[in-house]
Amino acid sequence: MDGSELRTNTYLIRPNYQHKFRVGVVEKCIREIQREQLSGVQYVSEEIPSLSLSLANSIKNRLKELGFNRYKLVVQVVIGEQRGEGMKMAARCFWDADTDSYAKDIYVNDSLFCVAAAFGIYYY
Amino acid sequence: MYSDKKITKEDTWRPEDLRRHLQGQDRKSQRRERSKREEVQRTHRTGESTERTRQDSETDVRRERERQREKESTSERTNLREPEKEREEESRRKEKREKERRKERERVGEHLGWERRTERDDKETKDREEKQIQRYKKRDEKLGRYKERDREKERYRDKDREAERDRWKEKEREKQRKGREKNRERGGRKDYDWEKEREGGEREKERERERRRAERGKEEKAEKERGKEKEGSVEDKHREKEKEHERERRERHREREYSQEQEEWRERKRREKAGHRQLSGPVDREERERRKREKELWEAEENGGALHNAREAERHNHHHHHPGGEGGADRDRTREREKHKEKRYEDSKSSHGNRDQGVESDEVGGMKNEDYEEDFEDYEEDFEEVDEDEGKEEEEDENGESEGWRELSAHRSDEIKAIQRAMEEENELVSATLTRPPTKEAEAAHRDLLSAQTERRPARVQTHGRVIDFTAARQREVSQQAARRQQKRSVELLRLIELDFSVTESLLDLPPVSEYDMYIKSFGMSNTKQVYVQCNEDNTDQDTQTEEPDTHEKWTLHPAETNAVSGGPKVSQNAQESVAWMNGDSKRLSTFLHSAAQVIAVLLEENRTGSDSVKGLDSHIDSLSCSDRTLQLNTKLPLIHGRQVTLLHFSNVQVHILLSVHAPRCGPSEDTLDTHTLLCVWNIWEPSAPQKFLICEAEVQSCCFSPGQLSLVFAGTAVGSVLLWDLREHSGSHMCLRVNTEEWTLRYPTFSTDAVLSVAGHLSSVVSVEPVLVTMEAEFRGPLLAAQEESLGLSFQLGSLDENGLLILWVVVELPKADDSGSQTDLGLRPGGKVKLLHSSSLQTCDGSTSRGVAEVTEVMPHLSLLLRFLPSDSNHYFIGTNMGQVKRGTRHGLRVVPKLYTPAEGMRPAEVTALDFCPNREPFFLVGCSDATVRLHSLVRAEPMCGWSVGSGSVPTHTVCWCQTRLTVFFVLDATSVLHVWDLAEREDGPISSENLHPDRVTGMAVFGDADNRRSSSGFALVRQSGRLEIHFLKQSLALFRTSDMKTLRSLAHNML
Repeated sequence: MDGSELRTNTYLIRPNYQHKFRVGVVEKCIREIQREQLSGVQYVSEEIPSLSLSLANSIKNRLKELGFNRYKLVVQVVIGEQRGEGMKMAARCFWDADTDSYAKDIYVNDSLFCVAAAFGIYYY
Repeated sequence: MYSDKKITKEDTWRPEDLRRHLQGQDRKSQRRERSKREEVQRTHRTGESTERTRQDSETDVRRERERQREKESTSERTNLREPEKEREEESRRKEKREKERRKERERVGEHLGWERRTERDDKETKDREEKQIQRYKKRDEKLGRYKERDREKERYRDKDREAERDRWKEKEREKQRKGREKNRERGGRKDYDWEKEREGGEREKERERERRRAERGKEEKAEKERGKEKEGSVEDKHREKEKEHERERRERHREREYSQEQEEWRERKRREKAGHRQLSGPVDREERERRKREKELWEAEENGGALHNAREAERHNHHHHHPGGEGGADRDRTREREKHKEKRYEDSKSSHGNRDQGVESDEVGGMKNEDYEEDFEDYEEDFEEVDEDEGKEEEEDENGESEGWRELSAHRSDEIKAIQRAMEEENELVSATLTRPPTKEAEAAHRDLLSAQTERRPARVQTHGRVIDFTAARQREVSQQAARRQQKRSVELLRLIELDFSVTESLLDLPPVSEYDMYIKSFGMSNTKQVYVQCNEDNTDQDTQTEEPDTHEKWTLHPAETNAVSGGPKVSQNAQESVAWMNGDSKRLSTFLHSAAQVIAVLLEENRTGSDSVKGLDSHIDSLSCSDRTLQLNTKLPLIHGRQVTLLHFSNVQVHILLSVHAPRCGPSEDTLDTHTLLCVWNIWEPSAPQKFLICEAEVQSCCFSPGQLSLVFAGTAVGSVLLWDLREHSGSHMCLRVNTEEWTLRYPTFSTDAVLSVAGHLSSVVSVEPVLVTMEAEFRGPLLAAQEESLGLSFQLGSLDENGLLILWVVVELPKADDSGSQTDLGLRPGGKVKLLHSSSLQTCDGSTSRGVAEVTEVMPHLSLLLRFLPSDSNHYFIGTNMGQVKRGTRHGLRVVPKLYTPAEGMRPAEVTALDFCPNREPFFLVGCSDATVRLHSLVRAEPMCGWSVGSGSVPTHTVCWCQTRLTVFFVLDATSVLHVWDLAEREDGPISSENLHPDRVTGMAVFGDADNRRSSSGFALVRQSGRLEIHFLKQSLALFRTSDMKTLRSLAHNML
């Protein structure tokens, strides 16, 4: 209890400016990774699960390097086949809009589309 | 009972406690409670120890333990009697079986002592098992290093303990006795009985165990400090324990129901196992033996490692083969032990490796019930100590544990049970302080456990389940703690921050692709290629391949109005010019065109007919003596061919214009045209064809041109009508006759005085029509006048004379506007005609006076007027030739003129005046030709002729007398026999200078042309033959050239005559 009280005083309610989750940087990062890993890839349903997983992991690792201290990162990657059907994806978050944010990027080629979204949630 | 502190401490050790509680479900719970309290109290009271209290407590403890033992089972009583035997047997068997483990055996040998036999056995077995388990756990490398250390320490401790035990023995016995007595007084009878039976080795054992425990307590502080102080503390501990036991005893009465149930159940089982055997000893022995066997198997398994599972399975099978057999409870215990081992193993792993020994102790306990339970107790104590003194050194713990094994005795199970009960309560209480749901769960778990203990104790699966339950509970506890922390944290944080739902962000919105788009995407760009790109988008250009036709808006107007016939807003330059042109002086233009056209036409005609005249005409026509050149007009046209020309008339103004009158063809003809009279307007320079054809039904007796402009032609007909042609009328409005390949326009008269003016007109045939020249002096007449006439328009008078001497003067009126539909009032006017004749006045020239004189002469013949001439110098005076050889002179306005009659020299005689011609150049002389072949020259002032000549033989009537226009002294006389006589008065006064017979073709008409004013112009005469041939003769220069002497000659002649 003493410890927790002490900790109360050490709460960091806002991230430092340089550590803030910057959407632009993250989007760029996501885009780069998508371009690297998805360019020229054809949709093969067997390979997609592993591909999406690896994509998500690589994005996550890259984001970790960017130094978003005290941020919990959630990376979601959805890869679907492009066959002309309409599709909608949406996200809704219950969070502190001051600190938390998300970045996404869409990669589309002839055979597939990939939506990668990274959510950064600040851990107080 | 419970201190607050404890509750707080419970937080830390509770999960383990719970586990232990599970292990020692039945009896140990009490023991545990007790031991805990002892320890707790001991820690509290460490300074206060006194001998007395210590002794009391010890005795109490002993008594209680004994009592518990007795309570537990009857079999234990037997056990108590023969503990040594059993142990020896066991040791022997073990030795035999376990020869391999030489070290341990040697140790056993070293510590051979009667009293401590059991202890040694215990120890040996313990050690052995420790090693085995250690070996078994060697896999866990952490623990491995403790093994040897432990062994050495244990050896040490054993020696110390033995020494201490010796010292303690006697004291303890005394104390025990005293304590026993006290106990007996306090406690029930049972206790007393048990105590008696248990005297001896039991007590010693207990004592030793107590001691060990105390030692352990001391060793907690430091190993070296072992001595009386420690002992004192141990005694304190004992004392406290005993006190507690007292309390617990009371509690136990309460709890006994529960514990008794368990015990009864156990006993029942044992009884069943024992079956016919009444003694508990043999039963126990059997059980032990069996258990040993099992243990060996177990050990072997442990040693063998791999065989473990198989053997365990065997053992299980064995148990299953004897359901409800001898070792039901024992089996349970062994199983429990195994579980303990496992649990301890886990515990040791989780907390400290030094607890391994405690695990091993279980195995030893398997030799007999007491040991087994002691082991448990030991273990519990160890555990509690560990729990209590977490910060202390591991070695101390190990020592304590190893010693604890010996000290524990089986008969303390009751106490342990009580303790367990208390712990349960405590746990429940503690758990109650926690958050609710976990408490409930824990309670539920406890309840389950309790019920399981009471009802289905042997159920192995159940025990397993309990174990899992408690680990889960512990985890729950941990997680609850974490959750609590989190909750607190969140409560504090949520005050500071604000969470909200983000707007629903659309991650992907992929619209569906329509079929068409898909098609276009895949095939739309096939067969196409991009050639260029339009950068400047707004700089596009459009073009069409077909050219639009040029359109211009124009208008035309007919007939033209205000000189404009066509025009339009977007006319080309030419059209505009034309419009401008049309807006110019059209009158001048038309005049120009008219004259120019004539000139051009004449020129063309000359070119065309030049050769003809040279070849043909000249050859055909006999050249006359008086003429040097002849020209033939083409009268062979179909219209006029075969017609006889009755009259020829030259214009006074334009001398080259010739009007010829062609009489109707002779003989019957179907063609209506043949019955009509044709008038042709010729230009003598265009001999090929007449310019215009005029037509009328009646026979034309006379004709003339309008004085100034050659635009009108007048004719007097035999039926008494005067006709007027307007030559300016457009040819389109006249009849068009197509003869062969040529078109001829036949113009009907513009105005006719035929029926319309019958009242005021002529009633007899009109013999002569003459235009009345402008009444002005001859001197004033000139080209200017003519021009003025033209400019003034057609305004002149026309005189017409019929046979009865009626002279009618007509006024020629030009209407300002033509009426195509015809006039209502002017019936003689042709529709579209603009010129008409108005009756001006009528003169009866044949008055009574003259008629009386004439009547005298000619009674038999009527007096006829034959010719009408107006005096050129004064148009007021008119001269009329009569059939009496006389020429009447009169004026229009009734002025008296002298002489009134010009008569021949021989007097009146019936002779027709066939010709009357005035001297050109307005000289006051005139010639009269008469049918009696005489020609007279008259002066205006005298009635008698100046000269008279007889033409020819004197019997041939003269036909025509023509004065040469250019020479005043030259005149031509044509007689009826076609002989042309030429007079030149300057050369010869008495007769013609030449006479030329124009036979064989008779000449039917003759007219002279020449401009009197323009003396240089050519002059000549036209002859028309019977055959219809029309010849133009040009006079010789000698005849034609004007001579001024002619006038003198003529005047002298006249003077001479007078």
